[in-house]
Amino acid sequence: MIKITDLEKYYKTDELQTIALNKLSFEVKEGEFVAIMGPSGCGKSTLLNILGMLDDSDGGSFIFNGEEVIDYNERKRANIRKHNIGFVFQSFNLIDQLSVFENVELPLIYTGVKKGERKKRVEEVLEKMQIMHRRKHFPQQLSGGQQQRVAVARAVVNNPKLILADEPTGNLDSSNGNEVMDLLTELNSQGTTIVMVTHSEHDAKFTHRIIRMLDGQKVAENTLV
Amino acid sequence: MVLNYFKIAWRSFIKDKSFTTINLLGLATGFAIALLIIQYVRFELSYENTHKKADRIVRLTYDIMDGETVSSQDCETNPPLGARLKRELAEVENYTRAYQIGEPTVTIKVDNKQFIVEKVYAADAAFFDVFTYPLLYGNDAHLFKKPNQAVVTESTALKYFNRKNVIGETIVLPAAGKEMLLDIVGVVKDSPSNTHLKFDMLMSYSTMLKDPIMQAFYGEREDNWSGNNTYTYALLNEKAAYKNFTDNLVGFNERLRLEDKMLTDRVIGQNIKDIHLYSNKPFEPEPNGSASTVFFLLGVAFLVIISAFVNYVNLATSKALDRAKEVGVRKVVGSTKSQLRVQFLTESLLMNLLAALCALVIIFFVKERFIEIAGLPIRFSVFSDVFFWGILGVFLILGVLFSGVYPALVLSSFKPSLILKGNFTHSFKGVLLRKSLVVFQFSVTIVLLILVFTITEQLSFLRDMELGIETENTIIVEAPIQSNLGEKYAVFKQQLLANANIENVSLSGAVPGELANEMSTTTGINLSESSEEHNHNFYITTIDENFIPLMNMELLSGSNFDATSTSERKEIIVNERALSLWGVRDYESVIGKKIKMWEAEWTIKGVLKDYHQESAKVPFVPIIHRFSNSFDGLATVKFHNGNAKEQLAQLEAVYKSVFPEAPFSYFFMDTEFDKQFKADRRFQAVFNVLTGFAILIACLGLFGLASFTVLKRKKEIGIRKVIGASVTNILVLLSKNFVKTVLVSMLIGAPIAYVLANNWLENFATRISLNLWLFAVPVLLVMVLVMFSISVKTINAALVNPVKSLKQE
Repeated sequence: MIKITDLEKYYKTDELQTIALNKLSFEVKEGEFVAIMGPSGCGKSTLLNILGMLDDSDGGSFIFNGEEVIDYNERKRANIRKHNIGFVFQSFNLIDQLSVFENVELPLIYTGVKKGERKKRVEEVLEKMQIMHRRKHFPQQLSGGQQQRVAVARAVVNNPKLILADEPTGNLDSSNGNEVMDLLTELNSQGTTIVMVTHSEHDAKFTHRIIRMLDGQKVAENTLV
Repeated sequence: MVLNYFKIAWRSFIKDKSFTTINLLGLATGFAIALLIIQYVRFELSYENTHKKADRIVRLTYDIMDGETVSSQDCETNPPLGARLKRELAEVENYTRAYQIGEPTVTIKVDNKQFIVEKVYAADAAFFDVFTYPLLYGNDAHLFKKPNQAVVTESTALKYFNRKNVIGETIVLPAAGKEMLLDIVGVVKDSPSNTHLKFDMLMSYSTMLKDPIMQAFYGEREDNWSGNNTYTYALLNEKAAYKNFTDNLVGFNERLRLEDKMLTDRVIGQNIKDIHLYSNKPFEPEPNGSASTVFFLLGVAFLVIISAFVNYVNLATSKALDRAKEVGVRKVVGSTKSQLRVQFLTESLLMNLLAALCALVIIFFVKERFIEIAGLPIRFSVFSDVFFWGILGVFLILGVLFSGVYPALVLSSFKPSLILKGNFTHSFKGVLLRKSLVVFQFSVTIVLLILVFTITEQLSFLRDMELGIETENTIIVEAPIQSNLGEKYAVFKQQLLANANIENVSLSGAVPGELANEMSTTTGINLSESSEEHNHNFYITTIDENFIPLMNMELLSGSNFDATSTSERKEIIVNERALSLWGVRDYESVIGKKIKMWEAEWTIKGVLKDYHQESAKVPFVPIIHRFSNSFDGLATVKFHNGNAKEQLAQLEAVYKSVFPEAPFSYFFMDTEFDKQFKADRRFQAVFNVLTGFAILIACLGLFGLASFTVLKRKKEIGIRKVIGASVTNILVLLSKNFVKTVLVSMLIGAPIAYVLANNWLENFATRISLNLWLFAVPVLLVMVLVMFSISVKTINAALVNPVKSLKQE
């Protein structure tokens, strides 16, 4: 599903250039659940942004679903993104002005799903995430765990092939964290590919494979299953 | 999708109420004030639009020439002018004259009761062809074919007859012990507010020429080339270019000169549409407006609305931080840039729509007051005017474009990869633009404030100026029209002087405070002994022996008229200005010298220090006072200090007892003087309102920006406090930039204000000089406002426990 080869990314300021990704290469197969680990500043999030087509790279190759996407413009990337990729963030990133239902509905609006169909699918996914009873609430009215469940619901409502999770349990206590990890595991078992950035060895144990990074490079890889 | 945009827009408005209120108030007041000013400007520009042939109507006026220079002008012309123009110039299709009767008012009798009619003109039958006054009652074919015919307006009919159709009724004009009868042959709609020549009643021009009473009063003749007291309007034929007409006037003037008809005057033409805003000559039928004032106000209104848009841009982009996360999320879940732009434009549309609604509410409440201060006609329509709604629509479109496009571009360009990780603090992009916008707002505010100060200072300077006369406790009564006035006046005066509250009573043809127009004018008056012949316009009035002491005027040389004076003695008292036109500097030796006036010699008896016939706004005019002690003009009654109401009641009681049939018509001298500032005060009022709104809008924007700055630097404030900064330190830190902004705005605004203020002051004969404080105070005021806006926000932020603000990060 994902194949990156010699991926490079630099951050430049007036005086110095920092290498965020240094000729990074790896592959993620369809249906895999991969954890990316490493100390702060090792380039994990940069990698995730590039995988999510939110950011450009400065060199190398990125093949997504058999398509070279490295030179795609923003419109094309937005199009691939909205049909194929779901995001889960550490800080949930729900839109405060929208209710639970509306937050989850948003990706369907952008992919042009009809209203009736939207309602059905949002309710289905809310039901699945056990947050249906909160559908009219606004993000501020929910606990962290509930917010993250809404965020996961939003990430999966479009049935994406790939979920990119950036420290999804980072802002949660252990029991809420475990709940979210169970959700992701279940999604993966239903066929969704997941790439998760995490600091937590505990969370990483839920995955199939751990890619360890340091200074923008892959330094180790452990297969768990 | 659009529904979703509206939903989120609405919710973000609700969420941040103070932001929304500030934005809404700014835009709404901007809309409201600009809409009202545009309506006002439209009204001023609409003069004569009700006359269908307005484009072809030309008013003829005179330039009074002293050699090659125009020494004066006169709107009133000679009676034969129109007919001759029609005969000699092919471009002239028709003409009409209008001769104001009674100046200022006419007393009429209906059912034996006397009334005062304000504006009466004698006009030709062609008046109804040239101007558009459709008849409500009466027959076009019969109008003004004979002497002693009258046409009244609807209101006049209602006022004196209590009904509109008054065809066949007779109006009586009492004059010099006799009565003149006028048959009403037509009723027309009232003169519109937007015409320079308004009337309540017209009489046929032939009445002027043929009725014995009119003849006794005015002595007007169809071939009178010596006295010019009539307005002349020419209707040009369809094809005639105005230019041809004016070109041909050159030859016409030359012919008149060769025939000795007009030696010193030159006929010029002006389209009637140019009269209200561009003509300000002596003897205008009413004081006109001024194009520069109108366009100046329009310009300011434009700045105010731009300022409101600037607010929106500033506030919306400052809010970027709040909206960044939303933008990021939307992009992540699949929104394109253009979808986001449409979203933010929708938001701007919604905000502008709400602002327009609020503006309508504001207009609804301030409309009456605005009509009053801007001096607009009472029936002035706002909401029923299609143009008004059109302009509102244009504002909405402009509002969405100006205020929506930039924030939409900025917000939609955020990079989600930066925002969502929380690395995003704020965009440095556009900081310069935002700063420039704030500088623009403050420059506008400073310019407006400096102008407000200048205008206020100048007008109060004029009001407080020595007029050269005393205007307090003085009431003026108009002479009644009836027989044996001479005897009755003696009784009237005797009874008044018997009242211990009354200091003095005098008679005169005119009094200071009235427009100089109320006096007659004559050109070509020169010293008999002088070989130089100058052609200046002199104002001539009659006074009795009490006039000069009553007005407390200062005689520089010679003596006042006395009890032995008679009008036959041909003595005059002149003012300094008259002497200066004759080139006389020695006031003593001029006493006893003679001048030539009206084909007779007159002896200079005294020289008066210049006094302001009109307000100090206009220069001194040359005035020749001749003696008369007949009560055919005005009686001035000077009271000792006291209650004006009581004084008036006492005066009225005496008047009514001596002249029981006559209507009591009076005015207070000081209020009459004050009336001359009406246009200026109106301008001042409108301008003050505009400036008030501009300042309000700028402050709202500033307040919004201050909130934003504080929010943005919350963490910094926390850290500084932990290190040991005091509230004052933080206040200084945060205000520094705003103070700099004000200073830059001052550097930009002050020179602009200087030029504008000087321009405006040039309208006045005597004026203040621009002081430093006129500039310093507005800048200080803005500074205080700025400090206040910032302090409220900053002190709050500075008082917050730093642990809290740091934790939130």
